[in-house]
Amino acid sequence: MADPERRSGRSIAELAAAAASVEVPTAGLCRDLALAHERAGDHAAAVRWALALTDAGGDLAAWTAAAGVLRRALPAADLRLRPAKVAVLGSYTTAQFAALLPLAAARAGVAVEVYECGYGQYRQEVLDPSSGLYGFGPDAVVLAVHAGDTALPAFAEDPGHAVRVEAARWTSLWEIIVSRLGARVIQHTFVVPEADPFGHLARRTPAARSSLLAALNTALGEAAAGPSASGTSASGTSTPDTSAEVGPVERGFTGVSFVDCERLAATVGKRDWFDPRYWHRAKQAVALGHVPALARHTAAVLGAQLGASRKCLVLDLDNTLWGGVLGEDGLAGIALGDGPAGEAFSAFQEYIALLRDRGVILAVCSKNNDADAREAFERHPAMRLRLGDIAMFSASWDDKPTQIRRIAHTLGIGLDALVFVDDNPAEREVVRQLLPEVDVIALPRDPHEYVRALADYPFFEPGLLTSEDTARTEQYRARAQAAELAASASSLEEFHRGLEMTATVVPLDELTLPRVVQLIGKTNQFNLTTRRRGVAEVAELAADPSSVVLCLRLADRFADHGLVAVVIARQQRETGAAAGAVAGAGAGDSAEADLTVLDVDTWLMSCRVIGRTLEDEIAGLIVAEARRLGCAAVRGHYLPTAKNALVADLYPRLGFGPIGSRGSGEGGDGAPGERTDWLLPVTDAQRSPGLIRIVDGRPAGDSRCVPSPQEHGPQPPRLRGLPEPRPRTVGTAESSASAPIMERTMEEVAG
Amino acid sequence: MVHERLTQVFREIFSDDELVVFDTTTADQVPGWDSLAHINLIYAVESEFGVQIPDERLGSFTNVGELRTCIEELSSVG
Repeated sequence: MADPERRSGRSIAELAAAAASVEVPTAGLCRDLALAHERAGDHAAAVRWALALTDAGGDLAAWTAAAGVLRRALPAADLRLRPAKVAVLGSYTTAQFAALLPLAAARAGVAVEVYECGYGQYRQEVLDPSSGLYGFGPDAVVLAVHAGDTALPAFAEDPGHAVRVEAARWTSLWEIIVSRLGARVIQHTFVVPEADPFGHLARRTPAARSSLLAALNTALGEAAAGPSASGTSASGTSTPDTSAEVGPVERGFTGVSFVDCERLAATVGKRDWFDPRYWHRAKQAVALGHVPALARHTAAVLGAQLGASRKCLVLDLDNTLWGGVLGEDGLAGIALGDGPAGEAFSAFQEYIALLRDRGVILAVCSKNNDADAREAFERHPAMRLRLGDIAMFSASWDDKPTQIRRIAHTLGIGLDALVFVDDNPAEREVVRQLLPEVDVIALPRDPHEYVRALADYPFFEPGLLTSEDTARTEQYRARAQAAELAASASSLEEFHRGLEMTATVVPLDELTLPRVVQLIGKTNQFNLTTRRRGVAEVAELAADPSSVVLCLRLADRFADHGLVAVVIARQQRETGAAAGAVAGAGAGDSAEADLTVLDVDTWLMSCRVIGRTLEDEIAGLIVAEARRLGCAAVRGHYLPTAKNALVADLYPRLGFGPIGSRGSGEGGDGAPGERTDWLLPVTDAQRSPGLIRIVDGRPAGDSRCVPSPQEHGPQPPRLRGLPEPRPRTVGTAESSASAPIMERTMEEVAG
Repeated sequence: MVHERLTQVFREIFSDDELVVFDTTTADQVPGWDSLAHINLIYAVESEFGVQIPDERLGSFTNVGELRTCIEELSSVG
């Protein structure tokens, strides 16, 4: 690969100008700047650029150059780093890893002195108290090993025994390192080779070597966590009896951490991680191109052990947690939850929420009106993060460095514990300039890549779970048990129960209208009448007191499906013959000369939630609305189209009786077919299956008639009314009639 | 062209921005050019030029010029 920056001999001024012209300088530019500053005698700047290179994804050569700069310039650079002596005990050629580790560690806040054991001598050095390892006196020992170092057979007679014995070979090393050297351990996990003689059969063959290796990784993790966390002690069998002193085995090994090479290798691709040419040439068990990443992750874990991890994520809002600008687009106009972009931002929030669950502190730093920003958290139905998740909420028109200083001060943590996430390059740059201690994550332009950008940042690595985290672990465990139940569900009903579904009736307002119109515009399968309507029409219907618009969101244990169902029904007075027909069709005693029915004009559901009994619950809701309006019956219609055969039998299945059929007068979307009409007297309404919890999320004044009111949570604040029924007044209304091709096609294809 | 890029690879691998190599430069004339640096150098050359140097040629380079010739042979841009 030709590197356009690869022209040395440029002056510092020229290089600095080139660096200033881009947000994140290339590794090549970082290298040139590091070397140029070193030549000029500016050691601090040289080190700064050498460290910047590690974030710029440089290759082995660039890292090697930067590691040289660091080695020469660090002593004079006056950086505040935690010192640590680190022994690299490897079973392959770890010289490159050992050479790059100081660079990676400095980036993680640690100044390391490295000792490297003789090639393949790691066991001997640990076992021999007169070895160089003991003379070195490490604070931490990295066991840089690979699958070839295990004594696991190609096929084990007794897989469980083989794994226990092998795990004990490693835990006994840990024990010696911890007890005799007083050092911490960083164990590289074993990468299961991608070439497997058993093929897919290996997965169901516990005796196969790849299964043994995977089990070994698990057993080592359990041994480190201790029996209280795992329920089993993989190291129990053949560990020498050291329980006289409070043996670490009994409590697990708090001083043992892992670098999960198995996951790193899978992330980049195992064929990339391991290069047989360099294994056979020089016993490189990790392809040289990935040694920088291995050093970087090992350094992150080392930093975590020494308490140098970052603790707090400082989040921008607009175009970071949601799409769009709240102050310009309004609450209804931001992208969150629905649509591809909305789902991308939801996924990012979900990932951040999980970081929070495992102990990362969250702060908000936004240029917004405080009340507006908070309102988004309180009112937007798709917000995954709640105000309660945010330790410090800073939304004001102060510049971001000022806000971030305030956040650090209020939370009582150092600026060097903060990581700033913002989509805006200018904001990132001003924070880099004015608060160099703060780490800045440059979000990519595409929100679909946000989660990866954050996940690739390694310095949130937690040391150990705290007691508070452990309490959360209990919750995780409870959840896991629930999942086991669901996994063993033997009937559909059990499965549905296990989903713990909640349907929320939400108001039709400026927040939901665009999605409702979008559903009306594109739902094909579960759509009884396929009547397409635009924003103005729907808004007009909603404003009519004789009509009912039901909008439902559905969430389950695994996902929030968003707004997925819409019903539009109208109160209609039937007189004379028509009323008689209605009455005769089953309205029983209430057969008067005139009576009202609730006529279901539109009923549709997103294909995402078909087959979950939601339609039965909705039928119950429609009947309840009919009762509230004093209607004697609910009348439904099925207008066949080429795509909606799915619901041809919906009404009879729900207990509706036929009231005759007509020709193809009004086929939805103009498709030919036999229209059918159906009637259900409210007195005949059946009980719904009750597998979905129904919550009325409509404001109190609008809360019409929904079953089980005791389930209502605290009522949300009263929402603003609907916009005037003019299409252009609603944020994304335009997209409803002509939704983006991509978006429409996706849901149409799916359902 | 190849020589310039090759020089840059040498400068990175030996972390010396002023390193100058000639076709006649041999391993014992460059401080730090041991077997480990040689592997790093070969790897960096393969990455930089997008070539794969065959095993049988690995140990046959007696000076920089032979390495350069090998790269030129393997590389389509020559």
